Amino acid sequence: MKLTTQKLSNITANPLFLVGSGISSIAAFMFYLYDKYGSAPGVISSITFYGTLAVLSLGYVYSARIRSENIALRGLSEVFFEINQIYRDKLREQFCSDSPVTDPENLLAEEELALKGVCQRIAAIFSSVTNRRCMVTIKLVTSEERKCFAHTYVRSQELCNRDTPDRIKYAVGSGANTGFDTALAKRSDGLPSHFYSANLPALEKQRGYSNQRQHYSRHYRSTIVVPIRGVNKGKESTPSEFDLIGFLCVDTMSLNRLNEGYHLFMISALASQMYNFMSLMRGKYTVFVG
Amino acid sequence: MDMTLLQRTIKQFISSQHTDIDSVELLHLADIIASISKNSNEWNAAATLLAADHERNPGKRMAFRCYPTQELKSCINEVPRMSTLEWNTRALARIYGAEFEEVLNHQPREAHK
Repeated sequence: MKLTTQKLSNITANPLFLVGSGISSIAAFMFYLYDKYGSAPGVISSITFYGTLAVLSLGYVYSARIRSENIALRGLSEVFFEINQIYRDKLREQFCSDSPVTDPENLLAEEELALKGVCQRIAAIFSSVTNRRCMVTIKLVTSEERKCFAHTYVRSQELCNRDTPDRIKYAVGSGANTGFDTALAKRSDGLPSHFYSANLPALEKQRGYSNQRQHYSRHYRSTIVVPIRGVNKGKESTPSEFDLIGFLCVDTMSLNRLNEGYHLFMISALASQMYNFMSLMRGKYTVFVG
Repeated sequence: MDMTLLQRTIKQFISSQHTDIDSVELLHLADIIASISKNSNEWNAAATLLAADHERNPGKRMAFRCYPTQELKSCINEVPRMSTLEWNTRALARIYGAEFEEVLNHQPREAHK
C-alpha cells in the first residue's frame, strides 16, 4: 500500500475518527433542527430527537469499542508470528544438526528459555485485547505419594512478587484449588476444557472458588486456566486418557475483562501448541531427520 | 528391524482403510520411493505425485507396496525416555533445586534407552 493511502487508512481506522465524525453529524443534525423549528420546538420532535441522539450515541460508543478491538486483533498477528518463530528456531537449534542435543538438562534449559519468551508474548496478546495488564504463568504438574501438585515453572514477568517469600505448592484434584480441578474436567458444551471467572471474589463469596494462595485477590481477580495436555490415543475414558504436562494461566486484576469466547479459544490454542513444543523438546515424539 | 517413517505412515494408512491389503488395488510406488532421498524437496515431489493421483481418482482405494528406503536418522529418539512427571520434576529441580531432587529420587522411572 502506498504511504499516502496507508496514512489515510490508519486515520480512518482510528476510533477517534469515528467519534469525531459522529459528533460532527450530531451537531449538524441539531443545527438543522434548530434552524427549522427554532421559534417553536414541538414536544414530540424534541423527544424523538433526544431519543434518537441517545441511541446514536450508544451505537457510536459500541462501534468505537469494536473498532478498537479490531485494531488490537490485527496487531496480534505479529505476536503470533513471533511465538511460532521462537518454537521453530528453538527446535531447529536443538535438533537440526549433525550433533543434536540429547542431554535432558540442556534441553530443559532451552525449553524454559523459549517458554519464558512465549509467556511474555502471550501476556502482550491478552494485555492488548483486554486493555489491562495481564500475567501469564505455566504451572507444571508433579506427583508425590500419589498426590498431584502444580508448581510455577515460568511467568511472563521475571522475579515476580507472587513467588516471594514462599512459593506455593498447589494440590490438584483435592478441591483446594478450583481453577486447576475445573480446568481438568471434560466438558460437554463443545468448549475446550478450562476454568474461567471474570470475577473471582464474587465467585468465592458464592462458595464457588477456593485457592491455596491466601489473598489471591491482591494479585488477580479474574482468570482463565487451561490444561497443557494431549490425548493418549486408545486410552480414552481411562485414568491415563491424558498426558498432562501442566496448566497455562492468564489473569488480571481487572474484573470482567477476560471472556469465555475468543479469549478462551486463543489461550487453549496456545496451550495445545505449547504441548507439542514441550513434547518435541522432551523426545516424546519420534522425528526423523534426513 | 525398525520400520522407517514412511513404512509406518503407510501401515497406519492401510489400517485406517479398515481393509486387507490384498483386497484392494495395489499402487506401485517403486519409482517414487526409489527417488526419495534425504533431500526434502524429493519428499515434496513424492507427496505431489501421490496427491495428483488421488485427485485423478478420488474414489480409488489405495494400498502401498513398501520398498526399502534410505536410512533416516531418528535424532529426537536419542533423548532419554522419561515420563512427563519425571520431565516436569527435573525441570523444576533445575530451577528450585533440592526439594525436587528429593521428589525425583522417589519417582518411578521409565526404562532409559
